[in-house]
Amino acid sequence: MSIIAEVSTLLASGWVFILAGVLFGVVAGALPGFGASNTLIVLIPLTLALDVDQALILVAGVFVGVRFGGAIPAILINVPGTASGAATAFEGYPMSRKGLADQALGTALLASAVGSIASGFLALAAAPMIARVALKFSAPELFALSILSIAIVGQVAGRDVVKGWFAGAAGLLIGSIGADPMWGDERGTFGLLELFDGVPVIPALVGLYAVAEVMTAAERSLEIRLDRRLTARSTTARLRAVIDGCRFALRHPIDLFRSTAIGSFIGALPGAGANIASFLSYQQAVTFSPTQADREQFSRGNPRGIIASEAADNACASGALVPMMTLGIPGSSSSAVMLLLMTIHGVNVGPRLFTEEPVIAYAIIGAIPLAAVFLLIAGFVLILGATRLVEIPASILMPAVAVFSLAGAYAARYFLFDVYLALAFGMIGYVMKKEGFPPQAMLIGIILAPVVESNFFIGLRQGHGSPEIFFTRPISLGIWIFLIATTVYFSYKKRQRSTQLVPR
Amino acid sequence: MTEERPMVSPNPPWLFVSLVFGFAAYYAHDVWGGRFETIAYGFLCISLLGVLGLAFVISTIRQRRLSGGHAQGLSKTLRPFLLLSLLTAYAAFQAALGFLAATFLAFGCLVWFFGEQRWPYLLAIAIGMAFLTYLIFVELLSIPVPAGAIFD
Repeated sequence: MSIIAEVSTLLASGWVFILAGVLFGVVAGALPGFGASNTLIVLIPLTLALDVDQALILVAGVFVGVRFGGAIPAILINVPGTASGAATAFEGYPMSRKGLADQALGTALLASAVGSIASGFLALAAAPMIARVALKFSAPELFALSILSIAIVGQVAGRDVVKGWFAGAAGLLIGSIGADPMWGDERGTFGLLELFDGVPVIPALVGLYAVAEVMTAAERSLEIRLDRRLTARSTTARLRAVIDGCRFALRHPIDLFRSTAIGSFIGALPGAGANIASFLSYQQAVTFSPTQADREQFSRGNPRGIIASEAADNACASGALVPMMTLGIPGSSSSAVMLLLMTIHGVNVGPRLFTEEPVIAYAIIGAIPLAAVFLLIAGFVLILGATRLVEIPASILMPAVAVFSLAGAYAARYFLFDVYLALAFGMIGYVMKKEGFPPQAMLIGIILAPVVESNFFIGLRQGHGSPEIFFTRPISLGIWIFLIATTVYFSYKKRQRSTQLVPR
Repeated sequence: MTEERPMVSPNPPWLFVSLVFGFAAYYAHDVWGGRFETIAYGFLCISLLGVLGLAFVISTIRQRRLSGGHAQGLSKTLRPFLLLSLLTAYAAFQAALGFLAATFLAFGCLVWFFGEQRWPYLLAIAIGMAFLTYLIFVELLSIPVPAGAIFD
């Protein structure tokens, strides 16, 4: 009982820090390319001035805020603030173009909050058990899961599966640029030292999304503006629209629950990350469409897609804390920064954390649902402010997107080279868009390439040189079967749709 | 925001495919003769690209036969590439002029590029946005930006 009392007291007295973390996270998450890792890195010096428990619950607030922050530009201008927000853009941006930006953001807000709250409680109740299951995943399983994610993104992004898979495979190849993980021999670097550590993800994200989007906007000399119906509506009407969006999410509890479960579990797998969770959850939402009409709406503005990606993305944040805190293994790059923060503040993570420093451990996890509640309350004001910002004329908005994004690319490693890299990816992303290849698939390939390659070789070693191990272990076999089943199912549904459309 | 874009592109996918295979050829040449662990993964990816590339070349040829259509150009204007040049110049000028001055010039050029023709308004936006960018990234987020060779 005393631990609960201490944790409650800590959270009650430190609510200002949690709220500050949420607000900072939302703003930072909305900056294209900035993301959770960079935000936390920037906060490290600030946290040194705080007590350890205040610092850690501040960071927990950032964890929650940054995910929703990434959804804002994804929905409003098709430029996700974080890589995992790309799935939100699939449905959010078409809704925004129809003048339903407030509803889309309301849906994203509630899905984010529910994902965080539910996974926070799940982590509180089941952290040791989740960690035990996560330990059963080794190299063959992680390899299979990564391939599954890329295949799924190729299926759901864009209309042509082969083009999606081609883009994913291209991303896998580009992601292997740099030193090979076994011997350190450089590959495909064009002799550039800056690429020796591999292609950095943030410039790739900024280029494929933000720069490509701005280049697409440059084709048109027309003024680009949000639907004027949005600007003419009163604040009350817009608030009502946001509430409608929230209500829509609440009317789909199964989507919320499924996405939260996917996000919590995937987040607990070391190295998997929110990108896998949000796309896998999105694909499941498409698969479990209740009607043909609902399935047809995907890619055209189906709010169920937003529920799926946002709930999973946010659930992943809590899920990623579980292996980090129980095993000392970060589940994502942002939880790796969290691990660094805890180490700097003298907190020893690992199996003994929950026994030696239970108050801090449970306070961090308990801060997540509380941060989600603050997000829900503050989110209404943030949404109304965000959509007003995007009423800015394109002559100001597009240059701001371009400059802020390139600054975000620079902020990754403080190399001007990364800005040029972002521009190169921008050109590639623009060409991909024009020719019907989904940039999301390439991005996920680049992100997962190191995971795929290292787990491939580790798995081969585990199997004594035989690739059989990838197909004989029960969990990895199950993942391959799932991949084949979803591919066959999607092909069958697509063939069925095209047969129905052909006039007799 | 932007106009409705077709989900299925009318453009044949040759430029992107060419870029990818061009890079794959360079990559293969770069790693040729290396250790198994160095080259295996790359060659697996290239093989996969080969199979997928063949698959949609076949499907593209079939689609064009069915539609009887002809390929459209990549873009009817060069504006996107002009924009890319402006952004590249922005990056290049940062090394010489520093972040603040380069950002001011970039905003001025980009705002004009996107259609603003009123010079006082353009200047005001360029100054305001440059300072806002500086405030956010340098003061608030403490990012060490280039000072520039001229002003260093």
